[in-house]
Amino acid sequence: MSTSPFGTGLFDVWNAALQQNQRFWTQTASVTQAADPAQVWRQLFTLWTEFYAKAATLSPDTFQAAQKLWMEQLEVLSQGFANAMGTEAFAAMQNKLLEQSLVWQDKTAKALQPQIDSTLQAMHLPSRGQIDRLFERIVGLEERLDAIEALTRQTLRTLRDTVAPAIADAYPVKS
Amino acid sequence: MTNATVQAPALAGAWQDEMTKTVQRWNTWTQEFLLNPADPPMGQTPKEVIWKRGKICLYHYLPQSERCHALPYFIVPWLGISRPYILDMLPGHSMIAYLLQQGHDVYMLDWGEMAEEDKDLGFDDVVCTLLPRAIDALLEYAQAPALNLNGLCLGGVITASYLGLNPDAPVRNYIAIVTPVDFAQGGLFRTWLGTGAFPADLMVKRFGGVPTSLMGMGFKMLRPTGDMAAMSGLWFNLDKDEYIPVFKAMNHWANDYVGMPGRFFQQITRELYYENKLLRGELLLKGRRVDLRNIQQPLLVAAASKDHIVPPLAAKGLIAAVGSVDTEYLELPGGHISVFSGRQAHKVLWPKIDTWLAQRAG
Repeated sequence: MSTSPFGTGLFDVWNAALQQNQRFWTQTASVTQAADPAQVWRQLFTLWTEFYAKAATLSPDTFQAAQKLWMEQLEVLSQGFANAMGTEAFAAMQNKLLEQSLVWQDKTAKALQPQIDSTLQAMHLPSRGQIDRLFERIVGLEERLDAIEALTRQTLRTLRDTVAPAIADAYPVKS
Repeated sequence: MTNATVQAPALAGAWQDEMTKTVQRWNTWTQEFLLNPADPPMGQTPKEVIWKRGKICLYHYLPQSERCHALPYFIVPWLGISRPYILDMLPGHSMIAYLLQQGHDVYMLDWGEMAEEDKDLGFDDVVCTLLPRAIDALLEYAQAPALNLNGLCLGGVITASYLGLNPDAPVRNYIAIVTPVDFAQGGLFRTWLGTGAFPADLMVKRFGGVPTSLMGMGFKMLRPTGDMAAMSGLWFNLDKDEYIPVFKAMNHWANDYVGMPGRFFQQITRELYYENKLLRGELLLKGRRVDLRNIQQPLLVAAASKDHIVPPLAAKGLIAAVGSVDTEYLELPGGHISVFSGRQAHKVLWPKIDTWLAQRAG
């Protein structure tokens, strides 16, 4: 638990309220039928009123403090997740799951592809693979055009830097 | 009087204030997220395309004040992952607009939306072919002999590799923001991707690269409570009018993922995250070795203290690896994005860049 700027007081109240809350919901869930349905909400309301009443005695701005405390709790939770997910065991498990998922997807796609292709062909529509291949060719053409453009630019620059001064030297302008 | 009696009016007042705020929050939420859910327009700073290769665009931002800096300022953001409009998010929250207002001539490379047809685009193509051509086009357009280069995140890895390959590159000053160089310090991504067991080849075979869905999942997993923290922050600040457009813009951007080309991803995973070849001076691109000691330019490295994508130590590694004499390392409070685009960025990092360049006549 990180050090709270509000001291441990507010955290203890918060913690106690959470535990009370948990007990309340456990009890509520275990009762098959409540004698008075409104009683459930009255209990919950009392629970939180008590929490705020206690918290108000600890901080001049209870709600602000509670907000900060909540954000801190999230940060602690996030750090907890990061610690758990930063282990090699987690990485190995995750990689294995991803690998299995990819293998499964690949197999499914291969099994379904012929039917998808024939359906699309019957509807005179291109398949995803055909569209990808078309775009790949466009990308390839653009690459070649770009290479030509770069070469032209370089040639022009060479001409400007070498040939133009040579011509100027050979044919000086007469004043 | 008992303690409870003393506290009762204070509690009643606090309760009343909170209820008023809650009503206001519900009202704002209904107005802004139910009745008018549109996101504010982003990337609105006027710009022109000066070079284009397929999906890749080189933007020139139109000046907003008298030009005070001689050299063009060239921003190279990350490739894939997400879009670069975060750098020009909203008026008052735009790094690009800020630099323009300080008299810089700003250019930015937008790598575009990478998809399956770009699967053969590799890190080597980007560093050895595309970036040099973009720089060439920029210098010709700006009629300038050199430029100031700013790499961001993976864009920093691209630019550092380019400078490591080209000791005579027309770059006067170099700024690397949240750029991972020491991949051994790469945090959770290093643990996940850098074990050699990550099925990168299988993923590329299946999807041709990293699809947007998996990209999003990977980044969300880095911080599983991120969305909950963002929503909590929204709820607590719904009574502040100025918070809403920034939240909407940030939230839109944070969920707007872009895929990564297959070969590029394979190279990054294997050669950088797994083998840390860039820092070790063993990275070969098109048969040429990238030597970071070739970076002789004045260098500013900025890292974020709470960066869970590029931990500060991963970024700091660049300082020791380069041949520059004039280096500065800056570790700022905040996370990976907030350091260059958050509420504090315009108070800390952006002015720092401006003054750092001014001191070096950039």
